[in-house]
Amino acid sequence: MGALVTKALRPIKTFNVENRAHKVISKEKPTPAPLYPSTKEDLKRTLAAVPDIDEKLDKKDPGLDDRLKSVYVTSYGRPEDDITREKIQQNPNRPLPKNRSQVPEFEMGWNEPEEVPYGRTTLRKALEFIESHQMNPTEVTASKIALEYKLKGEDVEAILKYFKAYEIYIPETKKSAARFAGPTNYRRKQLQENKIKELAGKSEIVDKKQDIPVKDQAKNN
Amino acid sequence: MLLNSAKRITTNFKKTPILSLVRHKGAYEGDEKTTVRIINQELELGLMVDSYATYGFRLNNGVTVLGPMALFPRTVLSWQVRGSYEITEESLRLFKILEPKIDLLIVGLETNERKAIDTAFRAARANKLNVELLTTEHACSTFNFLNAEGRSVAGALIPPLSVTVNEDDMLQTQLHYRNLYQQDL
Repeated sequence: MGALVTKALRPIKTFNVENRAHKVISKEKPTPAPLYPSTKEDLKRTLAAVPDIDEKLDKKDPGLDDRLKSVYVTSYGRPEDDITREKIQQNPNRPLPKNRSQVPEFEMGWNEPEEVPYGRTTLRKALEFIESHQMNPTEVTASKIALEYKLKGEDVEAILKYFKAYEIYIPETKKSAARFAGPTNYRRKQLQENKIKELAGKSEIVDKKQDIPVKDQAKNN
Repeated sequence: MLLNSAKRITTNFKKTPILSLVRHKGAYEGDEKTTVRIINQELELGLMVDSYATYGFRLNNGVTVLGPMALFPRTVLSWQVRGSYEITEESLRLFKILEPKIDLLIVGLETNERKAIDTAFRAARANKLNVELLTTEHACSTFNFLNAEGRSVAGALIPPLSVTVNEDDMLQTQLHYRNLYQQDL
């Protein structure tokens, strides 16, 4: 509805709009917007009280300046540093931390507690008993482990059933055929070597071509 | 051969000051100065999963692990379950009795079937563990990120049943094996 009204009234609103606009723009000095009624009243009152207010505001007032010079800020009481020192002396049993060295890197990835509650264990100890159980399962039984490490028997049994240490397979030489498991060079070295290989590409392409028939043969067999 | 196998993996890491963990640099450092950090290549951050296959995982210290595994920030153990249907309360018991308590256990399932997720969730609930149940593909990256941040996380990952391979993966595998063992076929 509103849109329709606007549409209908627009030609009347915009009648001769260009000429009117040019008239406003071509004025040498733009007419200022009217003041708000309350602002007008305020101005009137000020002018009645101080007729030369404009001049006064432009000039520097030495009286006000002098007064500002006599203003200064001060603080009462003791400095914060003294209070902190006193508190440290009051409470020698709970000293504030002084050690600012870096936290060392932990072997297991986290800091291991010195005391462990009954029924729980650290990862290091868990590894220890899992490995020793795997070495000789007849001697190091679950009940013995439970007694030694202060754990519940059923917990130990469950752990020994479901968690095993790995057997590491290392290929004897680098040329021995790749199987699933096997330690490798560190990755950084690998990347460097890869780069060199890419540059010396030509001989490899030949290798590839030789590869293909061999593989095919293997499949046929 | 069994002895100390897990420990040996842990001692592989070089100890470096923690300063390298501080990330104070902005994302962009001006023309031709932007650098990329690949968290899997920074060995001091701990063990991470580099790749996964149907038979197991490859970790970022170069060790290939067969079968499901229980992965800790610096340690890896074999997890003796055959699939997500075998995840019971007992099979997650180790994570429960660990001290210090682990903040989050990330369980990587080989499927995203509702049934498998439910059984795993019930098992974790029974142990009062905070778990994140994901498919293994997502679980690997989640574990990597959380471990790089130095959180106390653990992962219980089952290899996926099938792997979708793209050309980049194939190239990486080729490069990996050729470079390592230099096979003359």
